[in-house]
Amino acid sequence: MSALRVVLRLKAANILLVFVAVQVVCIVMGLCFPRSFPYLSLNHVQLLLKSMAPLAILSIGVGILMISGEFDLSVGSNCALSAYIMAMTYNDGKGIPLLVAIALALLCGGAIGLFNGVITTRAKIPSFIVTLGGLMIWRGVLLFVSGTATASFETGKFAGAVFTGSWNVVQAQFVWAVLIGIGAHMLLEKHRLGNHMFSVGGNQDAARAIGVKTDAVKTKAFIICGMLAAFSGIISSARVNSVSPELGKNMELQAIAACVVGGLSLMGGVGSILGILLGAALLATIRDVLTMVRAPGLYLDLFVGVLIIVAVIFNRITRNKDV
Amino acid sequence: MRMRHVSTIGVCLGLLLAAGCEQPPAPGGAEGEQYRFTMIIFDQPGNAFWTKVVAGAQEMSEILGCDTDVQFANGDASRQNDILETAIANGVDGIGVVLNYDDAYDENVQKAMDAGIAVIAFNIDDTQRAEGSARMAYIGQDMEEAGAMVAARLVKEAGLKEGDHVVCPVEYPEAVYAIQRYAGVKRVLDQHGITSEIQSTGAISVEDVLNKVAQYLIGHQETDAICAMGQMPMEASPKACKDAGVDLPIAGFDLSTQIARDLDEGRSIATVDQQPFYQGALTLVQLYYHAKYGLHPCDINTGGAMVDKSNVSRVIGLADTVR
Amino acid sequence: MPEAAQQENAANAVPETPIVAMRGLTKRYGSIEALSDIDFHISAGEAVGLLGDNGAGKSTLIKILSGIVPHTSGTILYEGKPTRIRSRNDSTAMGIETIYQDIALVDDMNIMRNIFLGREETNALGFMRSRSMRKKAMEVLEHTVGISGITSPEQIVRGLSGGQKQAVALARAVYFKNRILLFDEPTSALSVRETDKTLDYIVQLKGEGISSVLVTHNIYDAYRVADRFVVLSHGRKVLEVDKAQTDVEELTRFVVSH
Repeated sequence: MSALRVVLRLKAANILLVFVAVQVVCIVMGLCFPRSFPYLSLNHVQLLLKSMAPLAILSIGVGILMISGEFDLSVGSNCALSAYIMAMTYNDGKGIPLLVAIALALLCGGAIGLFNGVITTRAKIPSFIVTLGGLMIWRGVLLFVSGTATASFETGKFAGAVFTGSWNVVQAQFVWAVLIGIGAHMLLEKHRLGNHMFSVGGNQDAARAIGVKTDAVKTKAFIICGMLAAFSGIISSARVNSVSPELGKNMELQAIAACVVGGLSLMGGVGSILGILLGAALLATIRDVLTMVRAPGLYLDLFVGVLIIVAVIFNRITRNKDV
Repeated sequence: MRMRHVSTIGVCLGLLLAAGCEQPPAPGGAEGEQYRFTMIIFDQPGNAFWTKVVAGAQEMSEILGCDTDVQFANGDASRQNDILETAIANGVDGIGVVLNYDDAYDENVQKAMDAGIAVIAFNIDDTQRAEGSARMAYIGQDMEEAGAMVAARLVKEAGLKEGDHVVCPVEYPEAVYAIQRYAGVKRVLDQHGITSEIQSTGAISVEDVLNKVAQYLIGHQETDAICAMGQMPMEASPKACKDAGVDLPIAGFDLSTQIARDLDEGRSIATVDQQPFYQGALTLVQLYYHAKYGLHPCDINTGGAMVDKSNVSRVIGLADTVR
Repeated sequence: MPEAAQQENAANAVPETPIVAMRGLTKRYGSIEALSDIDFHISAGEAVGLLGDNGAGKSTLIKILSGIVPHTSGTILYEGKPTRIRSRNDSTAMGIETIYQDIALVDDMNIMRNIFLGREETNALGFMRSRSMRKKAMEVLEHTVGISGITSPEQIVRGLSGGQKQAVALARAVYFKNRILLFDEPTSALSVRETDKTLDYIVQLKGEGISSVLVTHNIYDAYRVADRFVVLSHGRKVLEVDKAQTDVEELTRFVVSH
């Protein structure tokens, strides 16, 4: 029973329970109807794990920033532009080395994050507005640079294994998402920067009064968010061996949804990495299940919309109960 | 004294300005006038397919010395009508437009023709051809014929027999191109007693399409072949087979670097290239000579080039940009 | 007491160097003088009541002391030596910390994280030494008067009463070895009982050598705690008097009539 108590005390207890419940239902259905609902077939499990990774990584970045009290709506465009620059400069091995190209993509993602952070903190414009503009600006820059053409991105065998390797149930993309999740968790819960982030998001005046450099903390969060967006783009591109100018479209809203479902407050100061990962996994599972039962595409939007509202209400109720 | 100097300078500046306003004569056009054309595409600018159409139009535009404006309607019919009306109001010399809806643009096309502006439909034609629209000609693929061609090749090379099942993934099943292509495919498959099914994949990203097709293959183990009806499904299908753990024969439509590579390395059988470069180039050429010499535009069937392993080497390197 | 005797007493008192002293302090906002030629000092182990009606300049003086706002002219001395307070860092280095009316704690974090906010104990890489911090937080709570009902430093601050929160903020200030606490209306949001406890704590701190500057509208509260009163009006000092030489009625009359 004490194990149960540990679980219930987790910040993400609510979403964990919901997630487990959904998985149990799916597994039962998979056992009862293995032909029409092959949830447990190895190929399907691999597919599901692969497909949730890009959103999970993107959501972690968005979530860290949300905990710090700010938003980044430009992550989808950032993701595409950074990955495109990587593909363009690497040029399928005819350009700069792959590792340098990847570093360049992360640098680009971080630079966009820095830009967002500086404008938000210096010009005192709400991040929502700044990054809304960024969403359109960076997408426009990408279309200008790419001329709307898709860039090819053929990595060698080794790099392919690192980013897309598959060994039984273990999928490289999913491993990356887990590793990044662990790193993010250490940052938020164990590092002093994480403490500062929670304080800046929770009560910026109090943080400033005690001497926390709120602008610097927020800018760092923006940079982390930007770099994770770029990494998400790298993972996606490695899987399909190309970077389309359409990459990442609408993912910013999905990421925010994953965070909200995972228990983060839109006001900032509250949340956990486990919650974000479970939120992203839940969204991916629903998308996956809807595809499996051949539901029309618009059902997904309906489901996700309902899920967000229910999740927020649920989290609000349980939060007040704790107090 | 001062005022006199000021007004003298002002008059001189005014004269200079007036002189500078006269434009230098433009190349092309017998009397030093440059022809202006507008190409209107219904889709998002990010869709890589249009890169080749635009490349064709712009190459011809440069050679002939015209001013060509390419506009995208982002999938919105009312926006497309706005663009049409703007072109008419600007008094351009010719319009090339994709008729992705049968009735939505009829009024404006008629208006343009009445105003003496030539209108040529490219890529997608009205389903009733010349009876359904006032356009002067259609330049594009005969979709139904192409569909029949692909299906026939698939049946022959994959050795499909009666009772087999083929899945036809496509981005937008309700769109004219999907309906016409599938009509041709189904016609041939039905003749052989082979069942087929359309799968709607949407066009969010290649990765998303990949997930959907792989899902289908996992859930429908009885599938014997894939006939990919658009560029994105064609790009995704070989990988989808790998993800689903099956090895199926694949044939389909359209061309890109990824598709060319798949053909070259034997992961797919053949594709019908509708030669989008020609759709852009020949539309512009005909608009030009109609404006210059009054020649009447003719219908041109640009599709019918079957690309497979035997001739794909010519294509690699040009794919994504012009082929 | 006759004036001559007052002066004699003052002369006989052992001159102790104040921790912080301000001479001729002036603060101008454009053409408005919020503070004019103020002399103000705080010595060790004393509580000063800073009184005055709204707009008198009390908050401005506190803000200058805590480094939020720079002064326009005048001298500031720290332990007798001239110095400058240009930022919060400067005042923190002097051991000055402000306790706010609206309680500068982050509600969604736990007590321990709030206590160590901005002053976390970390290893070389910046990771917090949680076990050590937890132990120290526990000690802080145990030594603080008025924090009953708190069992663990991992309790979320949102669940505490106003008085408990204020006690945590005070305990934090004390733990980090501050010598001067600036109180900006610290009890206006508290209940009668919580106010009582907070004032008792300020007196206790006085005994431990920690000085306080108490800005408040409640002259009764100030009278309970302070040893000396400074009354400001329209940016000028109109009265400075020891507790023994005055009473609540006189102070009230002064504040109201200026």
